[in-house]
Amino acid sequence: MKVEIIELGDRAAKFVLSGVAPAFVNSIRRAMLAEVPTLAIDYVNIYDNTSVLFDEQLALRLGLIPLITDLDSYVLPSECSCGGEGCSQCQVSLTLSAEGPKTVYSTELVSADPSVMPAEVVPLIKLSERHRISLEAIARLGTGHDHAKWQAGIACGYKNVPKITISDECDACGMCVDACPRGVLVIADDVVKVVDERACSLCRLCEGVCELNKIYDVIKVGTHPDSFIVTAETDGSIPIRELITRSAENISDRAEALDGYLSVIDMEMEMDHHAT
Amino acid sequence: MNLKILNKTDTELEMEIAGETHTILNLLKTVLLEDDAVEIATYDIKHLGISEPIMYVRTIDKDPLQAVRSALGTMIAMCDEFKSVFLDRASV
Repeated sequence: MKVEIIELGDRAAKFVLSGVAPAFVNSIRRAMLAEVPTLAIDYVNIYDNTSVLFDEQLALRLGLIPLITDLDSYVLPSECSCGGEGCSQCQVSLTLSAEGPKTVYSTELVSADPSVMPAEVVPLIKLSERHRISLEAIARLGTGHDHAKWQAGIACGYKNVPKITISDECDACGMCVDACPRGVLVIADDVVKVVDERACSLCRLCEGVCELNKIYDVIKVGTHPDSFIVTAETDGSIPIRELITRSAENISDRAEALDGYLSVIDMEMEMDHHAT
Repeated sequence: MNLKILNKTDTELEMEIAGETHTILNLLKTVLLEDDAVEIATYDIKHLGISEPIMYVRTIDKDPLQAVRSALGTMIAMCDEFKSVFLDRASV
């Protein structure tokens, strides 16, 4: 297994992962999107709302604010020692009160835990003269599996690493160079050369326009079957490195849990075998 | 997660893995099929959102339970390797 980082920022990453089965990359992608938990507002007590939005609409907008999450200090309500009733281990309270005329932004939420705060400046509602809102919001951990507001990973995907082969029969007519929407091919010294193979979108327009391709396989767009260009992005709630490593941890934790169940069954069967 | 063994013989294993999704099972199936002793490894989620996945494994001369357990071990090793390789590259 090999990793080559192309880009790595706080929120987005792009890397080449090679020497793995497509199923593994897909599991990582699925885990990043739906299994890594993050905090989101899940319950709202509205004390006063004289704005133009219904309570429900306001609650939905609050839910979709990405919150910076320290995954080591919170647990999922279903796994909490309080049994999901709600305690400082599994939930955090945020309050908001504002009076018009003004636009209320997500950054005006006051959190009980200073480490939990909106990751993004999101306009929540526009208040006019005499419009007021006053509310308490409860944020809990959840997974993208249950609701998109708990999705830490956004725009996570992968593609096979492209492999473009140009044979000696090429007459360097330049049709493929003009056809390529990504500028992958150039003509240099009367031969077609591949300059940026990874930028190729595998659209195969170059194969289609090549007249000689009807006779020989002059230009061929293929892929490396066990190499993938993975792109991943977070909503800002957790850093991208953490999202990627936690997705791998999540898969191994689940595999371990399943193995735990199987070991119990294994032992029971062994005992039955000895008994008979 | 909740596991229910539906059928178990010396070469066959059918189990319902409640609460699991394609995330784990597709990888498990792929890893299982790389084992030469595994003849069939497949799973099915009958109706999206309401059914629990059922996995079926058939082996030749091997306890299917052991085959699944060693595949799970391989999966865990893959995840650990990916994590360490990624962090190693990311820190450069």
